[in-house]
Amino acid sequence: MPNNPIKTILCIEDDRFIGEMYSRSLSRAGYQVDWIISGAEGLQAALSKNYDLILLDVMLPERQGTEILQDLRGSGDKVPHSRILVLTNYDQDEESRLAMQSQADGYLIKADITPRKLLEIISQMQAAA
Amino acid sequence: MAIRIDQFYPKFRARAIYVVLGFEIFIGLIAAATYIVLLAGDIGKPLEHLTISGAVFGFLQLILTPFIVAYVSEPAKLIAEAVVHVSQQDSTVKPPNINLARHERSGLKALVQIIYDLALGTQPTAAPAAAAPSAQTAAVTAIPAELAAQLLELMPCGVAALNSRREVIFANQLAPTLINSDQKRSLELIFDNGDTLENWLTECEASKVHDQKSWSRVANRLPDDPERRQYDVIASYQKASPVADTVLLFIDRTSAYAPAQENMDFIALAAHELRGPITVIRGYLDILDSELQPLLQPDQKELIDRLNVSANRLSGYVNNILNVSRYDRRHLQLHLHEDRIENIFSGLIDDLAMRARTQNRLLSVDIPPGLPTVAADRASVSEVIANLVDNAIKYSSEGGQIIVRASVKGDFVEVTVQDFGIGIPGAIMGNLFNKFYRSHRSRQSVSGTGLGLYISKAIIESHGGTIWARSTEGRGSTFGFSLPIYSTVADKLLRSNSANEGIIESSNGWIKNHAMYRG
Repeated sequence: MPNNPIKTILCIEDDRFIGEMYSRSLSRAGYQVDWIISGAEGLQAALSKNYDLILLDVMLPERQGTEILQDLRGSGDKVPHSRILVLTNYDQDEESRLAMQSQADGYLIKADITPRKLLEIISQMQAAA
Repeated sequence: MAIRIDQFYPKFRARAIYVVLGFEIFIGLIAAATYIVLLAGDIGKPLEHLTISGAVFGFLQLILTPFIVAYVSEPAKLIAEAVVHVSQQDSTVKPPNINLARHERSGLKALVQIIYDLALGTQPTAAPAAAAPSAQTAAVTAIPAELAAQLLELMPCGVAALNSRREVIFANQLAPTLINSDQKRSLELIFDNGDTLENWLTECEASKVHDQKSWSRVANRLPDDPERRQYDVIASYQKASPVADTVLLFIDRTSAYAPAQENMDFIALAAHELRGPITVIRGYLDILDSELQPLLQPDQKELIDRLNVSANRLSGYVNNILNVSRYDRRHLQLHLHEDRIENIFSGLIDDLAMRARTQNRLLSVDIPPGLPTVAADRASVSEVIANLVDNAIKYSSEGGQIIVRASVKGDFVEVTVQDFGIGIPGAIMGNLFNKFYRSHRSRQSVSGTGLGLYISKAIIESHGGTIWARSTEGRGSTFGFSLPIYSTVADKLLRSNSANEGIIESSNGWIKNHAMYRG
């Protein structure tokens, strides 16, 4: 598991309002944020740049978040530098939730957390590492 | 709705008496009318006319009344008594006495006998007076046992019979049964909560001679089992029956209930759609709140708080709906971890305090330090507490106090939420925890889905705890729930939970605890 300090963040999120919301609050808190809308481009970005943290939505155009997670961590960890936090509003059944548990570093319901809460969680992740 | 015979019978008796009395009065009126007509035609002899008409109609009455009693009232009474008797609904009605010669002659005895035969399921005894219909019935029911078994196999539904020891003595192919390790056949059914066949049979054995009951959506296997079927089950119980005490009918409704499953996926999708805007509203409010804080006037801050409270409540409702849908599909899965009530509260208190403050309630929390840890799914227990505090706010008045307390009760930690509001009428206490139940009064004046207490009960009972309510109308209510102390259930949890070590549950999600992972 990576234990580098979190500075760069990739946000893969197709909802413009939500994407802007996270970008805005994370940049104001001093993180360097790249926000990408499509799943396919998000996967490319995740593989090409060593982000410290990837915020991954599940319901995405072109490529679902679950598939991206599978591509990144399914057969060997292709992003050992990055932590992956799944952010979704879709209520997964228990099976897919457990499947993600083996590949992601966290799983959160977007409607349950506010940007401030997200900042708290990110600093907790750093503190734990 | 079916009328119970014990309700019908007294009314029937009363009406029978009215009919006979009415008939008497009717004859009396005709007699009076005849007298008046005679009187009008011939004014001279009033007394003589009275005597003639009185004599004629008195005679008529004397002749007709026994006929009415013998051919209408008495047979009706005896048949009604027989029906009440075989229904075993009212023990105060005496069985009919049909052993008089005239009943035998009139065929009434045979008729009552048929009622008994039909009710007890025995072959009708061919009484000579009513030979024709009885003989016919006998011919139909007297089928050889082998043919009967074959016919039961051909039936398009499952059939099973149990003896007085509740052992399966017959089951056709379609009945959901399995063979146990001791080579005995038993029923394979998963009933909901306490509403089981076993419990019903226990009740029947204790207090019933004959009873019927039906259940719907009873599954034979757990969800996700490919062999899972869903049945409507109809059961009939007859005490000390020579054939079988309990007969069960299983109607396979798997395909009919399958669309409900799609509906549930629809609920998950609808919740996803609702959560999008909720995320945006809560998120931007959070951003505005922190960025505008220095500029806002106190009254404007109050407005932002109200927006926050409303958005949080909306988010809570969506979680309630999703949890209910999971629970109804038996998919509600909790992840129990060692946790402290005070820690659960500390993640919740800001939101609860804001909810109380914006609605002018005084919330005080009295949780003594050092309570033993409990086994809890933090997100779910937080939802229960939020539901109870929300209710306390809804059903109390401006300025009212709400007190949250926690204490040890035996092997449990008990949390109570007390308000001093309108209280709950005794008559509706029993319905409080039912799905969609909302009191008549609250339907008019208070918003809500009627799901909060239902899902709270489901969540607490899934923890192995209990939830309860106590109330005095006009004086307020106290809702309480208990959670098992962690040390009392630790062994069991460690065995089933080992895969979840090192996970910190957060809201409805989780975050891996990296420090724990490395250690």
